[in-house]
Amino acid sequence: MTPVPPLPPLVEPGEPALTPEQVSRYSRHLLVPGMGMVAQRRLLAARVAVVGAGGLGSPVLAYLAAAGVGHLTIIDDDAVDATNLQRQVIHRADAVGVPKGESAAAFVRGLNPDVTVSVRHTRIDAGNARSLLRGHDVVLDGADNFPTRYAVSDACVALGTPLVWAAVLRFDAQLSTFVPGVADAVSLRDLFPVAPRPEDVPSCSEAGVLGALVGQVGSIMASEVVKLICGFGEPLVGRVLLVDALTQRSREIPLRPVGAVVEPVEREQVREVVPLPEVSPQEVHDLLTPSPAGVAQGAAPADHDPDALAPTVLDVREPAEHELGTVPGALLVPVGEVLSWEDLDHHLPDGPVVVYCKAGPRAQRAAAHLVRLGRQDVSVMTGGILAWIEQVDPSLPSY
Amino acid sequence: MATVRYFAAAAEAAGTETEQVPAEDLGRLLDQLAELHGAELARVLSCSSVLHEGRYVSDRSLPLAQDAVLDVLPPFAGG
Repeated sequence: MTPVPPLPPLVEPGEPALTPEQVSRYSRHLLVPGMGMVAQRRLLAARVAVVGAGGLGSPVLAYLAAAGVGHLTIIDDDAVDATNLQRQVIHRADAVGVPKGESAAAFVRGLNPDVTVSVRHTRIDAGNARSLLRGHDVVLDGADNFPTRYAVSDACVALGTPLVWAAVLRFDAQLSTFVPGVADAVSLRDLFPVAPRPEDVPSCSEAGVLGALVGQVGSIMASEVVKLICGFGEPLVGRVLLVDALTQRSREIPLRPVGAVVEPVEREQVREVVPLPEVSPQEVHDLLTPSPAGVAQGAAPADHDPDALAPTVLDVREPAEHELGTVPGALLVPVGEVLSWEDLDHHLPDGPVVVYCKAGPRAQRAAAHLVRLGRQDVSVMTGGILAWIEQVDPSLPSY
Repeated sequence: MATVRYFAAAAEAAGTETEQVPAEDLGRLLDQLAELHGAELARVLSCSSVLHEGRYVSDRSLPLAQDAVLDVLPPFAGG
């Protein structure tokens, strides 16, 4: 791969010269070859937007604030949740329930008074992305879903603003720096031209993520931003870095522009829409509760009202989620395994089947597959275990 | 022999990070990979980006050179 020479610095050095306090504060950067006083004044004059104050946003904001990036805009519509604290290290336990942007801004202000912060407590989408991101020198994407990520990438292309992008799941991460206007410029649309179906994109809340991995990856993103602002080093442009924390190996691959417009026709054809009946958690609970006649699960007499037959409850989440709490008696078969079944032989007891996952998408997918294989009487529990916890068994932990 | 490099869930489904497979075009390569590794890899392939020399490809008739390199990247968006 031909090395990409350093790009020109993104930001002109601001005035005035550094104060003695600033020289002291930033001295370890001032000593780094290629940085120095002018680079520090570039950082102090820079305006950076961070999309998502979560796992990636935490290290990004911490290192950019510490480096003295003059202005940080934090865009996040979420509130701090107890499940965030395992990896989103800038949020404190006492900030649970507080908007993430506010909590993150408090962290930044506490770390470095040289940095001004603005918070946009809003969900970024195709309609507002340009106006939210306009006026920034560089954008970092640490969002948690594809629609937001496409909106951010498209807006950055339209505005001509460099975007440092990364995504994480479990032990894996993907990173790249998209710079519009360079030769063979690429964006997220060149890496994933066809928007993945939501059910094909596992989220951290479903599949989990190693906490320290987001620290590792967010730190790489922060390094990229400092390099771009100051104009030194070789940016991650035209390449995708893939990090595997399990083997602690990083690989990189080239990324070139998509030649032609990509038509997702072929994939559309396999998107069968199977209408699936849904049952509420309360109905599932009632079906599972033995009737006075003492009907055992799946063993009702032939003349028994089929509505009263206790269903096989199929939990298609991952084992770690199952361990957090289940519908009583549920059979655990992760969605990937269900989808690998090529026939119905011996996989499930006879009788009706109710499928559930955390909130619904994986259950829909598994249930549709069972129906395709010819299984009768398959339904999906509406809202998954989260709705079960809310409506039937609040003693289980939400996650 | 095309070289296929797998990442994340694709590497998990294939049970390897890289392998060499003889194939004249993309369609035959994808069919062979699904046959070699089974339904889970076929599922991952159906939703992954396949890059050929760094460029996204989906045309099954794309001819593959002897030394072609393809990367299989499953989509994820966690942040």
